[in-house]
Amino acid sequence: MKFLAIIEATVREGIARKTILGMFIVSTITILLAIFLFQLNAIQHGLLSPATGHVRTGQNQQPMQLLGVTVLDMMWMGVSAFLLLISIFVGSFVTAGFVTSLMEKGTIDLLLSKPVERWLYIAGRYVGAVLIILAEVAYLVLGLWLVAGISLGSWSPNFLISIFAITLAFAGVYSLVTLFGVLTRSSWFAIIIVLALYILVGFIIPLARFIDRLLNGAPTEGVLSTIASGLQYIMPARGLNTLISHTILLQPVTITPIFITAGLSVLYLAISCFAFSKKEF
Amino acid sequence: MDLAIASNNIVKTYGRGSKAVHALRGVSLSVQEGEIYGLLGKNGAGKTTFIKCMLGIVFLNSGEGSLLGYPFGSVHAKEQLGYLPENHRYPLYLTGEQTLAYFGKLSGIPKAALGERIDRTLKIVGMAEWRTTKVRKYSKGMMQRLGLAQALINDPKLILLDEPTDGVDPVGRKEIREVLIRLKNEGKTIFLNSHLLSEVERISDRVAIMDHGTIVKQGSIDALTRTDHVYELTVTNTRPELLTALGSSLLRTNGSLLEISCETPEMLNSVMDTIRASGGVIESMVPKKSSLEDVFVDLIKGSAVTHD
Repeated sequence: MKFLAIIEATVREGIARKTILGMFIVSTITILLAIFLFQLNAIQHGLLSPATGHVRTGQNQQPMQLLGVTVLDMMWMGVSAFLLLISIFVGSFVTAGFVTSLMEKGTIDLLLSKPVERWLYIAGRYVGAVLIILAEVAYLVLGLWLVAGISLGSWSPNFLISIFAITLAFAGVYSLVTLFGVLTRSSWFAIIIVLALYILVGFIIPLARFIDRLLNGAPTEGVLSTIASGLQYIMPARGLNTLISHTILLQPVTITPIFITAGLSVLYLAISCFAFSKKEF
Repeated sequence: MDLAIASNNIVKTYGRGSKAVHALRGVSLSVQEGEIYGLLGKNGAGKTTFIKCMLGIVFLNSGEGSLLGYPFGSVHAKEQLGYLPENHRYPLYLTGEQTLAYFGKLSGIPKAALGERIDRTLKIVGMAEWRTTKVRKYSKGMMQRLGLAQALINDPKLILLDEPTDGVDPVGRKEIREVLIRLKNEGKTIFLNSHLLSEVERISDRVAIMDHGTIVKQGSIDALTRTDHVYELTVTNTRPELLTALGSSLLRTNGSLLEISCETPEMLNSVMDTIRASGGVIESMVPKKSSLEDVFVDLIKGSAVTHD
């Protein structure tokens, strides 16, 4: 009951901040745009034109092939990668305040006077934010999938894995945002730190390889490269885009990224809860 | 009678080294169940920190304390208490009713009982007609009443109030005072933090005066304001020679009011005999009482000298 009350309050706050509404409006515009685009002959031809080697079996049209991959699948991969990126960054921006608003003067005293274990507040806010993003992502992905399916007559159920993977990716990144939000009490600092960490890890691997090459004189994995590569395993959400792509292409999928992101999410959330329970206000 | 609050040598210091702020320097006090206890002090005296220590919002450096028999900060204690913080903030997008529902759920009130609790609490604080109005439209006084309502939503045994009449107009203050007295009559224990001395004096059974993180004096209002060995006599038909005859016993005169200092009852009787012998008529005689404000100012001045 108490946990649900905290989740409910988080969702209400999201509604009040127009966060959810804004994201739904953008999602709706995207779906409407997709409806319009899929009606265009040029788009339909591009995706389904028989001149480019697609086959017709009975009443069904099969999409054309490009480099062994269907154009439609390429579109789904592009869309899912775009949604993944947008959901993580926009989602983190609009939900980062949920944790820090909890710690505002005048609010925190009231909350901590209630018979609620401290960690429940952080966990409830976190779950509330993830549920909001889940709803947003589900709405957009299902909308696009239905529009494409109805317009093109081609259904790609594997694309729906994006709902799960994108939400998980967001949950992973948001666990870091939550941690730094608790530590710094500033949503902006939290986002900047997390963004900087991802950029750093993104740059540090090629940089480490370059230095290793300079030092060793050969393109081998040196100590620096190994350490730098290891760093990516402490960053949630890595590898999930590949997982979506492989699922769409029906290629063999490794579920390691799921476990890594889920595990890191739980770890960072647990540290956030611990830090919050030891904090004075 | 059981103790609602017991604290023993509570020490709380913020920061370390040269930047350390000694907020509480060994605070010991006890509050009986069913009484209204006022904690007085200037801003920054440590009153709010003491409440935060009780609730576990900040952690003690040393000392120990209990609320309703449970350690400070215990969830079990919080189930039976209500708290109105200073400068409290509520989600502005909620209505008064929704705000109480939220805090009621956090207090563990079952869903079935929540509606009835909200109705009753809003009625107690006189906010029933504003229940569906958004909090953002509330005035400061209404906000304070809502704060009181959320503190009462779980029907607590112990109510901690930090400046409950802050920003409230005189009529609102009177109403809040009446609510507090009604709650006391229902057997609730009320711990009141305030720098508004007259408010505290009117309703508290006992008070403590805090300065620089220490309790400089505590006791009943009566005991604190009583001035030992000084009496106020209303005497008519006084003559100039009477004033001379009273000598050093006479501290002050103001028309028919004589302020007399007598160390013993015998001395007091002797003074009264002198007045009668001079033809004076004693209409009344009462032990002199200081106002709580006088006591407070004297104590704080004394404490400031010590700390300087």
